[in-house]
Amino acid sequence: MRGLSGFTMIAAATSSTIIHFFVLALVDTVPLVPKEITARLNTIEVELSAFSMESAIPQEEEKAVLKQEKEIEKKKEEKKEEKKEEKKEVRKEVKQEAAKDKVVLAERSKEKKESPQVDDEQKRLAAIKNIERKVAERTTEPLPAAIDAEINAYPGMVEERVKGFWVIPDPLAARGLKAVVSFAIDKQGVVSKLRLQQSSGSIPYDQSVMRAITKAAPFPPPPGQLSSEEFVLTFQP
Amino acid sequence: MSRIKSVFLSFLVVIVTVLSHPIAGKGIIYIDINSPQIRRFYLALPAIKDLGQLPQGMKEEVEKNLTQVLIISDLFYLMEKVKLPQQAVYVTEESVDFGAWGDAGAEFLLSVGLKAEGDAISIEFRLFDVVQGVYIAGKRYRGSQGEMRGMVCKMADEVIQQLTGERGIFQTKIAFVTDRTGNKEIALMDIDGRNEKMVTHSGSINISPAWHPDGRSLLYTCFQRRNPDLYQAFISTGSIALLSAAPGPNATPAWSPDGKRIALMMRGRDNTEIYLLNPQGKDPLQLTRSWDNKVSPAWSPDGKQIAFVSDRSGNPQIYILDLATRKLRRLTYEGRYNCSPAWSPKGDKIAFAREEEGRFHLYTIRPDGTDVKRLTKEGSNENPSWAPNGRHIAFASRMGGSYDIYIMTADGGGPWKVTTSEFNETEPAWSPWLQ
Repeated sequence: MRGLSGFTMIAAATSSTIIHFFVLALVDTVPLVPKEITARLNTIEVELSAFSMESAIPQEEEKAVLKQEKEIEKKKEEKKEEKKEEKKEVRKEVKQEAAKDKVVLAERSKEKKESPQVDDEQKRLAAIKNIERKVAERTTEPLPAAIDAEINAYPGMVEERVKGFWVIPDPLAARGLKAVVSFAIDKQGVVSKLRLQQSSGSIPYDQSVMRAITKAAPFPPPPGQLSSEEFVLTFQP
Repeated sequence: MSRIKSVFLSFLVVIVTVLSHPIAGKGIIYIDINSPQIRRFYLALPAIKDLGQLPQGMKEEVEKNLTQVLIISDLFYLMEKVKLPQQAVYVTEESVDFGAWGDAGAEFLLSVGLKAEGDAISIEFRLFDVVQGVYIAGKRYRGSQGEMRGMVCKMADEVIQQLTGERGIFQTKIAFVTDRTGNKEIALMDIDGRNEKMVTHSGSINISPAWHPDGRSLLYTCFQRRNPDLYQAFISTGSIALLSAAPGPNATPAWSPDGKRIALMMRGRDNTEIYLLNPQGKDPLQLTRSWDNKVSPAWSPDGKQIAFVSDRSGNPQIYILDLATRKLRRLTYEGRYNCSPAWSPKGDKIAFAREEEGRFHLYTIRPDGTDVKRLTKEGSNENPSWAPNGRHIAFASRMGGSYDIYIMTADGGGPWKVTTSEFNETEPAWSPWLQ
């Protein structure tokens, strides 16, 4: 029972005959910080050279991002409920989605303006894609139903595969973080243009996401049409 | 013809993606990834490299300390050395064959070098993401030989921060009560038992240490003036202040998370009640008023509720008081003796001790009364105290002869013995983040 804070301890302490050896502890001013600790504060710490990671996001910015995310989350949840309830609401949602897509497109076009090189590259890729498509059409003409099934199954496969490789330690799981990445999957299944679209504000979390995709790649070759698509993955525990 | 077909096909793609994926747009496929594997990382820690003039045995000692600290962190699977592609290697970013380490199953590689320069020792690490094949971080620490373990703790905390975004606990401290002087005094140590120092020297009974949220001082109860009075000890200066000497107990203190109030047990009419004091120990405010005895207040991390022990049901059980509404609810129903509540820093759990067949075992329970889990397996275990990361708990346990301080993970992993004396060490109080 000894050592329990509570009834037993107080009772034990008061009932035992206590002999007081010293006068007030107030006089006692022995410094409590040992020399080692003082010395340790002086330990020299040097950052070792490395090729640089993304610089840490300032806390305020992080907070802002988290706030934004919470709002988005809220909206998302509300949306989900709406869907379940009534079909009428679907129209509204489609509008919202369209608006969202517009925003995404606007963002993308902004980026394009910022990086003309990427623009050129995309044009070139689009041209190549077109030729490839024409060639493919000439040689193989699968039935629409088969294409349908294949195309339908592919995103689910990507999801399962990436999810299977996504590993985080529990301190990162409990913080309500969210990161968004985008990439393309070429005809061989190789990932290209991998990009962190939206940081979670936590570098270790963002990196866990990048590792998941690195591990999941290469993917099975996508159905022809999908190799030209952009995959946008949102990672939320 | 082919043009028409192509248009038709891309139309089909859009239709299909819209149907199968709710947030699909033109040319973009949106996928939500949820439910990751939540687990520890596979970390490869090859043998420490001797970078010059090391005293005999130092490399092995550092390796042992570092390994133990990383295991206690509960964040890594340390890979067996025999399974590593190179068992003793010191790597810089130019020289890592990531493929080989990845094939061995490593997700991260921690390469450590150690060097002696006269009396000084320097230890350096480089941390790599094996999966992506990138360098994450590296640091060099330099200090005297006596600071070696401190530098290892610093290094481990840095590695943990880099990989989990959360501060490591290896530079925090534990206050505790020891009877080695023949009395009961309050002492302080690092969480691996190093740098032990006495806080009180009163030659009396000193109990119930409780940290100020700023980590600079401790509250405790001392019987020096025959009455159990409330004191505050300042750690860096060693000065001590008497805060409250009301007749009767001024006991089991707890700082509110904002440091603006002290909750404690004081005398009621014929019983003990929970009171609040200001940081100077003045302006007592009686929180509870009934015939039963109440002790051991523990604040919720948001400062809105206080858990405490009351014997109103005929035996000690844990109750929760809402400070705004003054509503009281009973938390524990099982067991005939539940005590020492400690609210986790994340707010999701309350740890407590429960008597079972003459021994105490530590449990956690959610603040809503669900999910009761027993954490300890053997011995008699008391006084749980949470680490600031909410992932570890310190406690006093008697597994053999005397009481010692142990730490474990919040789900009962470990435990690891911290103190090893033949005296009794009890009532651990884990510090908040320091510095």
